[in-house]
Amino acid sequence: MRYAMAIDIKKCTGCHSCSVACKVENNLPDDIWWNRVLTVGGENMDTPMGKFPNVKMEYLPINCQHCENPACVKACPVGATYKRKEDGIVVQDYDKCIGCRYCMVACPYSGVRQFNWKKPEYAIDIAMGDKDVTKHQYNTVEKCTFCVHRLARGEKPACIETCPNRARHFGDIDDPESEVSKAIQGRTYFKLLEEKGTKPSIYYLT
Amino acid sequence: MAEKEKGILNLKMSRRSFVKASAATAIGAGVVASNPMESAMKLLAVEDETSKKTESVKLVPSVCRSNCFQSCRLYAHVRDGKVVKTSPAPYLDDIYTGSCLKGLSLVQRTYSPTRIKYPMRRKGKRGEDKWERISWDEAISEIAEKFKEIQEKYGPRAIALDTASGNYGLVHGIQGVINRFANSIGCTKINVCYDQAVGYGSNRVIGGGVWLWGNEPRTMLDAKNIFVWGSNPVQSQPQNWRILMEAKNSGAKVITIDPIFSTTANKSDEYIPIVPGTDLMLVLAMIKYIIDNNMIDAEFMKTRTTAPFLVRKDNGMMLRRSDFQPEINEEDDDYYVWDNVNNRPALLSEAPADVAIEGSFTVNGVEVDTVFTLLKERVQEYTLEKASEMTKIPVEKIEYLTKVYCDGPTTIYTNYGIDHYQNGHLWSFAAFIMASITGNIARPGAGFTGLYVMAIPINYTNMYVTNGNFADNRIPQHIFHKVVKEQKLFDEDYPIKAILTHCSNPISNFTEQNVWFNDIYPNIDFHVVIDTEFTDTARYADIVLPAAFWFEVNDLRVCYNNPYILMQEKAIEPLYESKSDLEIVTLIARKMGLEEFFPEDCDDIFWIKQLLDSDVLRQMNITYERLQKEKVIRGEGSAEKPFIRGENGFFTPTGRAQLYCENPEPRVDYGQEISEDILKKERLPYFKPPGEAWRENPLYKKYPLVFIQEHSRFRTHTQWFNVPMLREIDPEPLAKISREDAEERGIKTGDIVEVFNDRGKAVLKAEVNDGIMPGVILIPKGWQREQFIEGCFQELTSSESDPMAVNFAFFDCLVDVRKK
Ligand code: SF4
Ligand code: SF4
Ligand code: SF4
Repeated sequence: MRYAMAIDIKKCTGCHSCSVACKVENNLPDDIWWNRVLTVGGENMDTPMGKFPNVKMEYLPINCQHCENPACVKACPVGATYKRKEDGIVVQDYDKCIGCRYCMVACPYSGVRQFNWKKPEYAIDIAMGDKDVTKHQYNTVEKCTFCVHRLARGEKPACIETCPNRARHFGDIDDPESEVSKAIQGRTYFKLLEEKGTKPSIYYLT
Repeated sequence: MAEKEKGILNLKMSRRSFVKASAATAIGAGVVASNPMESAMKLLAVEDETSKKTESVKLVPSVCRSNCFQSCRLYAHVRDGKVVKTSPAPYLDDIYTGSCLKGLSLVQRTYSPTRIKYPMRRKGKRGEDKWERISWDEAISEIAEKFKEIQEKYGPRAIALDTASGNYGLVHGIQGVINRFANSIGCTKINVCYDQAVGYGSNRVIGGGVWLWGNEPRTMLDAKNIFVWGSNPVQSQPQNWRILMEAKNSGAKVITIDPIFSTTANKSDEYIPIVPGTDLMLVLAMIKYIIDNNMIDAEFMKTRTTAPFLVRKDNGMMLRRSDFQPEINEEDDDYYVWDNVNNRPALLSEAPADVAIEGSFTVNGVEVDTVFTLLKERVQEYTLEKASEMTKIPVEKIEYLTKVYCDGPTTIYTNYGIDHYQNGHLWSFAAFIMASITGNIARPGAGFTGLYVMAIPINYTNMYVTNGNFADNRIPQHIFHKVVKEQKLFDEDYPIKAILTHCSNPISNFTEQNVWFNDIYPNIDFHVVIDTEFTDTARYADIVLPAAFWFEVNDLRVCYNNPYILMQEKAIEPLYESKSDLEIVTLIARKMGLEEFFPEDCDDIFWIKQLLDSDVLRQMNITYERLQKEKVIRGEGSAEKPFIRGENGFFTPTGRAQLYCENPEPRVDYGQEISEDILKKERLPYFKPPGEAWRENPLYKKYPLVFIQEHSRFRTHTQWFNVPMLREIDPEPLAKISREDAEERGIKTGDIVEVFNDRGKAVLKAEVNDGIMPGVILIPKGWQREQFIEGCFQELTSSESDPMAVNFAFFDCLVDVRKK
């Protein structure tokens, strides 16, 4: 079994609901985002490219690609980041992480791994989100976990449940009946930076 | 080791149970993909949603009460007495289930670091933002004393209630108990001028007042074409967009008409750029083209519209039976039409099916034209060429658009973009006529949507009526500053000395911001603001009272853009020293001697029951008991047969779609002057240019850019203006400028610029944006004064209104921009 995600670019409106759901669910510290939405267009968010009115933009939500052949795992000197054999999720063990950031350099998808440069700070006084998420730590790298704590309870990742355009799908790619397999069926898709050989598990449907 | 058993490590250790759980997920997920309704159904099957718990987390049924025209049902996830998360809660009709990033970030609004925690009294100069904390007793006594003193000295109307769209709870929000207070003290209630023009125009055609013009959004699935016109639902109504997109994916053609290449235009099949404020010209030319090319639906016009009705040439009134028999009772009166079979006049009730929709006749010596003939004459001057020249849409494109429109069912998805010009009501008047002459209304997939409001007979009388007094609702927002400045309404003395602001942020949301500092504050003595955050308005108050947030009260909501009425349950106690709006109003009222009407023990549940106490509601099986059990009830229509406005007749005196308005009356009569000529002209749509944002306006030479305050994804008006995580994504206001205009002025992305006109300025960062038409400049709305380098976007807008629609025309505004 291998978990995978499919994001339907035709449906995605770049609304950032997935980013916000992730931020709340995982009680991410200020300025840390595991799931970002990039505009493919002009230089700023939500700006198109071209000459008015013949312009166009697309959105690319990006979180850790949970690669089959993860560059980060090879780079980590202490085994703090590793791939789970049973489901393919690439996890990060904060307790083992020594903050060397080799994984961040190795990962071709810049930004999916984020670093706590300072003691995690939070805009509000209460801890948001799920009580089962691991506490964020100073001087460690962190990233999308595919919401392992939710999977453990039989729930889908937070971003999947909250996408208002129902553009995100998740499941076991080895199971042809899974939501993600069905979402991909009959669709064309691309994966990010396939030439890097990381074999990402996120399918962008076009 | 025990210490380490947490988070991911913990999960690693219970691998076996995890693998089991995830296998279950995979199967469950498969089911969801094949039937997306199922997951919601399963959730709803749980009898009492409040009892649904994940370990120590309680899911409390709630709803987002923003004014985005969506009504997302949410669960407030409560752990250890705190709301730790919000998630979309299901509607029975799963197409309506969802939430946007604003609904999902509400934890940070609840526990906002800048939330107003205690009653505060101004210490420094007004607006200086210096405060002292006071007790509730002190605050309430001071407010009650001042209010009483002012009313004794200047009369009851000298207190002005300013309430708006910051909260759509029926108890605590704009429609709530605040109205009971305003009525019982007989104060002034400022007449809301937001978003009134579209409904004011549609009301002439289909009736129903200002709000009842839209179909249930689900009906877009039945549309062949959808014109998104005057709206950007991808950003402003993201839940409606989901339905629109589903319609598109099942074959509907989506065409967006907008001066801006909006995020909606980006997702549409076609984008038609249009010069700001010329949408009215486009629809008039389309009507002419439809009539000239006989693309009308004559059958629909005969049976469902007033097209065949006869209008007297001498006085412009419709010909009635009473014209010849003045003695008859009103209920026996009838309209004349022309009987084509016998070629003679006939009363409508006696006429055959074949009546004339076109022609001029003489009935008993009275010369008449059919309504349709008058319409046809009226639109003659609006040729494709003229429209093309004005809108900058090629002639062939307009022809094409018209043909697509007529090849229905076509839904026009609109909101209040066009409403924000001084000719907005004429656009909707014309657009509803266009729908009526083509039969593109009152049937599945046709008509209008974008704002759908249910007509639910809530018992407001129970809440609003007390001692027989009523608030004076005549002063519209757009002239409020003039009345305060002069302490007069035209010639009538009209002292206003105090303002009570409730779920509203007028400094930021009324037009022409500087009138607050120049005209209003120098002439009032006392301003009380009830809010959760220090908005622009709260900063200028004398006393600020901390309101409880949405999750801290019980309330009832009649949804916008879905057919549900629902309960929102209190998830947590009011934070800090905040109190519910109901409690605050009750305290002030009691202190002012209104104990009789505000008994101490009437809590929000009491008022919810009062509002639901209606025989009609009981007949509809909408009761408190049922709501308490089921939390959410559909009020009209069904998933199979969504509610279509006008399907069973229109809410007009004739029951038909009225293509001619005999007696045009202004939306609010506050004594404004309207010439006879205008009143006559307003009987049919005509082209009226925007008031300011118009190339023939001499001001255009000085200020050549039309300023549009765009709705962003990150705020609803000014709500969410300071939510930390949203500001991480969207940190600061930007002036979005077309490449051409930027280059002309030497402006590059990131430069600091000043957007200005004679009314004010905003200093902020520039963004060169290729999605913007040259001649247009955008600043997303909602940013507060302190978030600009200097000034504010709302300083720029004009308070001029069309005298008929009496409405803020936010986009009818010229500016220029220069590099700082
Ligand atoms: S929530 Fe969905 S539509 Fe919104 S940005 Fe994420 S993937 Fe795209
Ligand atoms: S995306 Fe980067 S961090 Fe994630 S698994 Fe691949 S290489 Fe590692
Ligand atoms: S702001 Fe509007 S779309 Fe977003 S959650 Fe609230 S009601 Fe829904």
